[in-house]
Amino acid sequence: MSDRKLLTSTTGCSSPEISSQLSAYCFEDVPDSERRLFEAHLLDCDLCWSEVHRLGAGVQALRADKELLRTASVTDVSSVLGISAKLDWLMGGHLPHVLLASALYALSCSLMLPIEVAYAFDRFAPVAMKLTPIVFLWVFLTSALAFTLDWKNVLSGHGRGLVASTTTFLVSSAILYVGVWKFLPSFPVTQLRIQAYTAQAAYLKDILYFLPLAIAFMVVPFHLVVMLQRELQAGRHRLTLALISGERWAVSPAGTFYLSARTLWIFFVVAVLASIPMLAHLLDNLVPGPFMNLFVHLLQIRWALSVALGLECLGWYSRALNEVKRESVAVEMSSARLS
Amino acid sequence: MAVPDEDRALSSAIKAGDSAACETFDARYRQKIEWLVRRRGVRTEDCADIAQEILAAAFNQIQRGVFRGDSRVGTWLEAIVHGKVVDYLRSPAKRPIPSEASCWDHPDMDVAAAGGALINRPKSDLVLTVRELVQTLPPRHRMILILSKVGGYTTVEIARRLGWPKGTVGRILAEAQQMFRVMFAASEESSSTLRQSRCEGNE
Repeated sequence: MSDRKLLTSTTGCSSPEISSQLSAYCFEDVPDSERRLFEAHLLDCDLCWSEVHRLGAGVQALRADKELLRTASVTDVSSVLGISAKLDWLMGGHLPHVLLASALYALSCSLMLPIEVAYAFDRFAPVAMKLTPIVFLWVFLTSALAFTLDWKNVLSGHGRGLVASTTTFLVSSAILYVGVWKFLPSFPVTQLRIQAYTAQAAYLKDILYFLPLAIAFMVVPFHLVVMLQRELQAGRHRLTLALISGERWAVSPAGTFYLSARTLWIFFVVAVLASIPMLAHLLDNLVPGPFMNLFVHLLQIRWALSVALGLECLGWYSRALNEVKRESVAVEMSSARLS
Repeated sequence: MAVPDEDRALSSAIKAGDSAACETFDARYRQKIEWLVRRRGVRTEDCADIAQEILAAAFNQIQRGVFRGDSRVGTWLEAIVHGKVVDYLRSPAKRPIPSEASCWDHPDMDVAAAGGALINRPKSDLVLTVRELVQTLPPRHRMILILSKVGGYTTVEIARRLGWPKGTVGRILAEAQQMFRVMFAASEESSSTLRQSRCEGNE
């Protein structure tokens, strides 16, 4: 019998709203006022009366059987204490990560606009000051939405979570660009000794730099972790452990890419190292101006935010994979002992 | 809530002094009332007397026209049960039955005397059935049900120990109880079918 069927079954009583309290009544989980109401119903309803009698004996047998306390297996314990148990919590139990990563990403994205117009801040300050909070909110909310869609998809057993969250990031960025585009000048604002991008093109370039990083560090790891939580819930501890341990035969769950934490760390270090000479090259070619100081500060803040975002995502990812591994090892070792 | 015509007809017949209606009423409610008062803490040996008092009060109210059929019989009768049990428990000579005593009647329960009170103990068959059912619950539901109903932990205590939201624990516990109920009913039905077919085989 499926779990859903088990949860919706009733006695066939004519007052289903009262008879839905039957289990709680037998387990003595109804408050006094409702208990009296239910007992009044029992006096009228023979169906519920016989059901209460039948179930009551079973409940008493359950309550009296202290042996049950000793039967909890490692699988049972891990199912309530391990990371797999948190899958149906909000965001799979990763709400702080989702909020922090979305906020850092939104902050980084919202700084793109003031950076691109900083050199002529006296002219563009009103637009930049008005749009920056809107951009922040937009990016923050759509990022959180992307995580939510992914989590909801995984929870409902669909394999489209990764596609849904990636598409959300892509569409959000496209709408952001279209929305901001008409407020940005179509000529270069930042004064450089080399050929500079127009503000519109520079904004697009910023988005194109950030989007792959967001997908690689936010979307793919989150999807993998929630999928692994689901795999553990389904009892596929061995396969999960083999995947995380790098066994050659192991395959990742359908619809996921497995990126090891080490691979992502290497990717992150390379990206940070590459960004340093790129930033230095930009600063070397700046033409001094009244708002150069503002531009350089904003640039450095955005760089620091990007690094913080990478570190946050990687720290969370490493910790989550460790928890997945710990649960898999505990269950596998207990199974091995039993066999 | 609509009052069934059957209830109205029965109370009218009792009011008119129809003895067959009184017997029908008695047969329909006496056992339930006895069970209910026992569940509310009346000693087993006093249950029949209290039930008798309740039924007498009920007949009296019907004959005096106090029960006008505006509510269900159960709702009205429960109020009488409540009043009588409160009176009983207020009496200094009366004490509630010990907590281990049970009001559950079941063909698989053994009745034994312990400490002056009758207690029902589940037979080994029932214990095994319940164990099997508990093992078939999903792991999280099983753990929460055992911690709550066998271990005696409250929802808040379980939530604190597991670091889970209280609402999640409450929801899983309610689901586990409902699953247990449905599976128990199914297992009872299959075992009674089995018993019946064995009896027919012996005949």
